[in-house]
Amino acid sequence: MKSILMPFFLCFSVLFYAQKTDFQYSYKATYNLEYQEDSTDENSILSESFVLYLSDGHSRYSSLGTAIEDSIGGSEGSEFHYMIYKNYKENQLILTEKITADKYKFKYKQDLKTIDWEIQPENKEILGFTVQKATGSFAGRNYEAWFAPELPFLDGPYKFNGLPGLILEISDLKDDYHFSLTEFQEFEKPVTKTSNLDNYKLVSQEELDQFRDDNNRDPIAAMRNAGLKIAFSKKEHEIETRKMLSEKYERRNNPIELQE
Amino acid sequence: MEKILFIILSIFVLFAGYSQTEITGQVLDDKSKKLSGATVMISKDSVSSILAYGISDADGKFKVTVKSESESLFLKVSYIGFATFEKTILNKAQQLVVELSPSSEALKEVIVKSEILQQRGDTLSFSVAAFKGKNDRVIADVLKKIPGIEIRPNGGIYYKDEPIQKYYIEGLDMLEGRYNLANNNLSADAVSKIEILENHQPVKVLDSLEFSERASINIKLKKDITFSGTATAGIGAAPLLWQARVTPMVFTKKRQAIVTYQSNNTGVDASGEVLNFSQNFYGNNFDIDKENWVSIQNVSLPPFSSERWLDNNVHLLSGNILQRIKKDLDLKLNISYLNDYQQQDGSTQTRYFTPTDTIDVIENTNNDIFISKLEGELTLENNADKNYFKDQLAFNGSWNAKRGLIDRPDTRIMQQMGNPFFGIKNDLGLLRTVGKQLITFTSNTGFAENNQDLLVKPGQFEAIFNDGEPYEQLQQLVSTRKIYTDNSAGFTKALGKFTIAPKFGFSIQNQQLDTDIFLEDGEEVLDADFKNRTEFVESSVYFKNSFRFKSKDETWNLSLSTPLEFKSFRLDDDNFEETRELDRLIFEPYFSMNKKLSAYWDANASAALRYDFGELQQLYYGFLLNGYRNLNRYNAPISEETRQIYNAGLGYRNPLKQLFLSASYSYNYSENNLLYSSNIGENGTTILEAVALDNNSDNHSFRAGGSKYFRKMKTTLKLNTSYNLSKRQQLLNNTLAEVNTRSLNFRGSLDAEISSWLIANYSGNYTTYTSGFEDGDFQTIETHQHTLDLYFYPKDNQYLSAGGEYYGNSLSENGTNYFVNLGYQFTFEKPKMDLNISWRNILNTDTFINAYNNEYYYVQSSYRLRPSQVLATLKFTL
Repeated sequence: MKSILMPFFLCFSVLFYAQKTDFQYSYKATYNLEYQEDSTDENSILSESFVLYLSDGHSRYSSLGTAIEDSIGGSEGSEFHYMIYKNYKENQLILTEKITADKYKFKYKQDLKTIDWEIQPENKEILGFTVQKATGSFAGRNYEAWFAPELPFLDGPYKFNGLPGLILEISDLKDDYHFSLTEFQEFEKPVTKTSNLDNYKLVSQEELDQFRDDNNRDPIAAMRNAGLKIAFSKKEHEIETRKMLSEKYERRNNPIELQE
Repeated sequence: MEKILFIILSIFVLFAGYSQTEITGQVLDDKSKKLSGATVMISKDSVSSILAYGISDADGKFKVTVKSESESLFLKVSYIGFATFEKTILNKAQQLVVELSPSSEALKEVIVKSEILQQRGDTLSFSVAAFKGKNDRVIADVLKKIPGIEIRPNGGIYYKDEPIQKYYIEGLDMLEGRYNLANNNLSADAVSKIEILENHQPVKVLDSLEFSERASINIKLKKDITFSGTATAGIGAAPLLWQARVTPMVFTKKRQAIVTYQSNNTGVDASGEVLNFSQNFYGNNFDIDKENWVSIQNVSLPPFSSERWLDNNVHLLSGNILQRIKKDLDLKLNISYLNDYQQQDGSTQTRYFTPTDTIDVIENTNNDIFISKLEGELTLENNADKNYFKDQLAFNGSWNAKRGLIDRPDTRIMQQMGNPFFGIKNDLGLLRTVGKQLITFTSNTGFAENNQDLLVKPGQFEAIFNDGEPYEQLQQLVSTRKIYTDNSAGFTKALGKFTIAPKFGFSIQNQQLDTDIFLEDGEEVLDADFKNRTEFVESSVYFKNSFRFKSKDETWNLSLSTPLEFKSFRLDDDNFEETRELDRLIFEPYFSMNKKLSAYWDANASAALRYDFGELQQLYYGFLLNGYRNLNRYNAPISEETRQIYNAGLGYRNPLKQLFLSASYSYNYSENNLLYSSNIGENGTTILEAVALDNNSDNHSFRAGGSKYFRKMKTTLKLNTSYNLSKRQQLLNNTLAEVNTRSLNFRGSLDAEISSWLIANYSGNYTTYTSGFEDGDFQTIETHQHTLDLYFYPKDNQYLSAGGEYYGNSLSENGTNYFVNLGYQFTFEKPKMDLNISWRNILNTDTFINAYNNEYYYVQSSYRLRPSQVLATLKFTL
């Protein structure tokens, strides 16, 4: 019997490891985003929390839900599933996103410098920090940002960066997207977040945006195409669910980055 | 604070008098290392706002251009982890070197609103309010919208493609797997949250010892004491149709109860509501399922919804109660009773091919089926942190009767069948922690009794029973009893990343089969060839060290299991001296692997070895009349089959192009020690016997499929094909024949969103099935199916659906079937009610004509459908 079993147990010794990278962060900034989902409906204001993990020379930004998903798994019902890694040494920004029940992993890269900021003389106070105003335009929207020179991070929510101090508040002039800091803390010990950016397929921003759009338009078809079995007890139920999802898709017509 | 060094290397005055000043320089740390990313800020003085700023580059160098009339400027240089450098400088172009010294001073922390993340482990919580649509009534309507959740047509709930483990309401598992009852009737308004417990281990003792990959669902209610439920009432014509259902329920912290009563004659299968999806976690080799030894001739059922063909009259009553006796200790009682009367009408034409002949049988069938079934379960469960105890006593009784009339061109045959059944079992499971390991003990014991009889008038198989002369009647009596016990003890121990769980046990099952055949006036057939007095003992001593290993990183997924078992079989018959015995040590390894080749490609492969041994249904010596024209016996050694199963597949999924392709191949090879011999008589009577002769069979199957989404047309096109090739040996009318079958299938579908108020679906299916012996094919049947469905949404609170179907086959002369159905739903806001009107079978097609073939025969059948009917139902929550 032993001789029969041996080949099977030999299989165990073959273990496979993937390359993983540990990122360490010492600070965390939490933002609340209020955004108008439907550009035609002023009452369609939604909000969500985002976390920006900061360290010397790099940072990671995502919705709170995506951050929880990343650490414990599962789906947290966030509307924003991407993570943005900013690397100041390489002057590079990487956006990664898992789409369709985490079946697909994509990323795109772009230059860190996205905005030519103009410093304005106005000051105000946010949560006890003195902040100064700066203005700039990005992806079809004009922004007004408030940064805190006391917090010497060149960072901010979303892709915003490059001011001499952390951006504590930023909104576009139509106020469709409004980020404001709710929390800033320093960790006693740096926290480690593991991720393997090599597992994400490099595509262009246009490709990723197009695919995200396809997925949002018909998530059921997307999941089926990805090999997940989704059945309904009656065809009517499926149609009803699809109808609901497609209404949601139509409402969601006001992205942060506009087509230029 | 430490002293800050500031060195001015040199000063160049270039554009004195100009208001624009360029300040350049370099930032270094205390060890003269270049600091990149430091912020350099210039303001008028220490309190005013920043005028200009710069950021140090990879060499630590910066450049700031300031426009200011002021004589002096204030310079600030910051970097994380270093003290901020501050200095008043002259408003002159200059080059500076700034050396920063480390600082441990913390940055100011602020918290506006505390967002304390609860340690929720693997629990995902969904607010019902967020997912509930305005047309959603019961919790199933909401559940099916949650990502990852799927509700299959029979009501089974799957999460990420795996069946859920438990369905809790407020943390209590009242229904023991019969969750359809709650899912379809608990009002969504009463529920606050749906929690998905991922990797849920329902047995607390096993938590942290045995990793579970499956999820459970917990329904959180809004109130501590909840009364809920739904009621449906429907009426229709013609003839008079009714549909009624009332399901009240109550939930408190310590007691839960659901009662349901349902009745309809509209073809709805009520038993689905009490289907049990639970899975026994400690495994069980034996059960008290009802066995059918005899049957009356049936007509194959149509492939669409039973509401269009099932002629029924059903009543179902079910009660479920849970009482929490004390912390972690629950007592549960689940009882249901179902009564149904069904009628079946149809006709079949069967053609048998033998190596020498073809035989045709024409039968018009008319069946009456009476079903009466009682099931109950009493459970005591103690699920504490250190101990687990569960004892479940279940009983199962049914008193079914069937009457069948067969009209053949020259004769009319009556069949009458009764099959009362009773079974009772007790399952006990005990787990206890001793030190750091876990001791497991299970004991399952059961008893079941079947007394079936089949009466056929006039008698068949005249050559065997009455010297070739016609005779009045033939009756088969079958009586079976079985008793089993399966006991095991084991322990579970965690060793780092692995868990080992050796289990030692023994099981024994004793089955007794007594059969007799009687002719007219109670005359018994005394020949021992037509009697069974069989005792079959199956015992097994097993050592299952189901060592599982799973490497689940980003690209590889491997799995291997290696169970070992010693099985022993012994069969005695009073009428035969010889005893049949079989002892085998079996090892059934299973290996599978999955590899992600690139972002879009993945490959998988698996291999398995399986052993199957004869069950009592294929082991009796004496002939048994299974159906009015089927006599079977297995006068041969115990059957033994070894199967090898291989599978490989390749997938390509490119979501950017919305193109998805997959292909797979699988191969099965099996070796069997018995060959089955069929002797088909002129009037279709079949005598089946087993012959000891080593033989093998194999099967190849290929599959390929693809789908593509066309963005501009909002349309998805899907195409699939499969090809199957199989070969096996068969004795047909005493001639050894190799039967080959080939089947080819094409499926296609189009899904189009034509406008926001109109969705259209089309699907088509084409199959050919060919069978033949070595020397040639004898039959090919082509079948086609086309379905078109249109869904209109004129308003938010109503929808209209219209569907058309076509079924056809190449064999039947009038084998084309057309159907049209209409449905309409209106939702009232106040009071909350759904009105549903459906008009089924508008063309009033009276029969469904179908054809299919098997290895050596084909069947054309027609099934009488329900006529064109209109039904209106009103559904509301209690």
